[in-house]
Amino acid sequence: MAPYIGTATSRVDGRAKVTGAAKYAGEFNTAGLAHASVVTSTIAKGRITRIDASAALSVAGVIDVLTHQNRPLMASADSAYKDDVAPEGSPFRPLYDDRIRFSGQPVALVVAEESEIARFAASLVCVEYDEEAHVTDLHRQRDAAVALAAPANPPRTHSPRRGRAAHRSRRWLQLRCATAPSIMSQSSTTTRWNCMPRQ
Amino acid sequence: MINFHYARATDVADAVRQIAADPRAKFIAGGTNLIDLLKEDVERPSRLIDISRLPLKSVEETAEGGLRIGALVPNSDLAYHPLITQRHPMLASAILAGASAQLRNMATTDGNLLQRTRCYYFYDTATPCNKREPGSGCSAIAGLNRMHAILGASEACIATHPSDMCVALAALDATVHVAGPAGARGIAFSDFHRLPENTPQCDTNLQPNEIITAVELPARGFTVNYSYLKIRDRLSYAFALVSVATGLELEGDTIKEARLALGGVAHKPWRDPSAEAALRGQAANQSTFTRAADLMLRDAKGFEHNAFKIDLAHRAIIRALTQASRGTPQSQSNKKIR
Amino acid sequence: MARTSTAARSTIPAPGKIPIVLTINGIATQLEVAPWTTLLDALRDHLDLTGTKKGCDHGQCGACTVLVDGRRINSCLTLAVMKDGAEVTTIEGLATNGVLHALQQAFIDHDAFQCGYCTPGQICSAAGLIAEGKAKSSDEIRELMSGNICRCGAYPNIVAAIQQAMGQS
Repeated sequence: MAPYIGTATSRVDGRAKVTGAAKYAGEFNTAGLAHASVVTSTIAKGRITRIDASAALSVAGVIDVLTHQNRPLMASADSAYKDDVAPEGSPFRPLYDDRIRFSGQPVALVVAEESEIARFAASLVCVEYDEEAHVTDLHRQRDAAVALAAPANPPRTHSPRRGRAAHRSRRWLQLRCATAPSIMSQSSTTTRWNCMPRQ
Repeated sequence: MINFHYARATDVADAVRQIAADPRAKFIAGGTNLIDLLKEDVERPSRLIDISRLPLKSVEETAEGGLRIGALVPNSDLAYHPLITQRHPMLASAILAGASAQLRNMATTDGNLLQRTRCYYFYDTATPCNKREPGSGCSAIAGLNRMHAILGASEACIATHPSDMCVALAALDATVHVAGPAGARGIAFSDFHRLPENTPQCDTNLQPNEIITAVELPARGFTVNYSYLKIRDRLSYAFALVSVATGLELEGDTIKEARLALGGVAHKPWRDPSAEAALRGQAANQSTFTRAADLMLRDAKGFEHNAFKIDLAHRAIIRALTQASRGTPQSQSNKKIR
Repeated sequence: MARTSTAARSTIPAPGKIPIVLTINGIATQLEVAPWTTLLDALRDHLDLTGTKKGCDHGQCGACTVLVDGRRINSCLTLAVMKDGAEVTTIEGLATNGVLHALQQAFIDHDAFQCGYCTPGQICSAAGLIAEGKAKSSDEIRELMSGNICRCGAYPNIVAAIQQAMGQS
């Protein structure tokens, strides 16, 4: 590996990518391929009380509308299922049940012969909810904040030296602030965007 | 996206006839805003009348020494047209500050005037919006309103007009030429876009079934002392938080004529005759510019997430006027604001 | 539980298709499309030309950039029926007889991509930029390419590749 690090190396998939020959997910066309459009929740928290897909189902070219009520049984929907390579916590289970956990949560999947038909039919699906109050703004909840107790035994970092350096830099900062001729204090919020490769 | 019929218009009279025949029909030219709104189900026309092939694509000189810009001239063609770059560089600069090269190649003069607000709630059909559905409420007033208006808003709507080109057209005192069932007429640019008042569903004073045929510019172009200064959350390809179009005619150090229009702050490009009057006859200096900025913003009202725009606009006005007075207009490619 | 659609059950009909002709990469191509089909979907779904990418479908990312009558546009924001009779150049049409276009070669030479999803749009956009002849400095290249987004962050190399293709390297 070492000789390649820092060396400009032409990518083996370079020609395919610059000529449009490289295939990405969703680019494998086949006869009879169906297309789907996702209907997403318009509330952030609550329960679905009713889904009326009758208008969507009556659009020519629509094959089916999947919801939590009629989705096929899936192993990943089992509450015991854990994804070995995913982060800790509960994996995302689409169309699992009637609970809404976040704004934009998929609540129905409209499947059709053409993508535009799926998209149009998706706009005809009616979903009714029992909405609950949601809490998403950390700043508005500050009054409800609970102080963390300092751990009796601070966790060891992998590199003991790194742990000590971090501790030293916090103390260093406190000392400097106490004696600085002027202090600029500012809080800023990062945007919600993440940058990930498309494929 | 709704299932719509598609038809083409053969000439202006045919376009007017077709749109009059179907109250839910809409014209489509470049489509860069309309197709976006169709995909979001904000617009659901029964029919699209394609006017993109009408012969309204030229820029011509008028008898009065002005310019007549065809409604279908692409934004990029307009920005690079020799008659525009020579006589109205403020307009060219403003156009190049907007959108992306691809969108400027597609977008037309009339579409730029008629484009709709990019308010997040206008776009989200799951939220109340008086512009989309009169009487349903305005979600932005008590919601996320960073991009929203600080001038001329109403209790019904605080949306802004997103165009850059229109800010320059407002400063240049353009006239919008339209044709309709009742014939042809010209609309002063300041009367073209509306304030929201209690009718936010009406963006403009176009009558039903009217089509824009041209935009006319008067002879006066501010070729030396002008600037279009656009402040936004990133360096390119974003709508204005605040923008300023300004043009000055100087005699030595004295301002003989002044134009000042703001974008990103209201339902229409914002001009204030009192601010311009306060510039005329004065020395082109910091205190004169400050007075004009004070006047422009005296009725400014911020909301929870956009009150910063008031101070930002104040500084931007002074900076743009300074740039114009020095003959150093803001470059739209070198982003440093000098 | 799956149902197949039948015309008898449908009360909302499918849109009628309109015959159009597009000259794509030099080849006159007849197709029938519904009015609501964008040029992008016509290329990818109807003609299997998947080189042009759907990144955002709203004209915000530039991955769908193609050349229509020599000009770069966002193919997701125009309807195929509106471009009836037009000449369209896609990424698949830039190489000639297997010889890469100068831009394609330059993108390889300068490693101007990682995942490659924005790359066809970047290259077609750059081809349009060069044809427009307005970009001279790197500031101007950056500004006039601002309609093409790259989440892998290959921007410095993209600018370098464009400069090479423009003969500036």
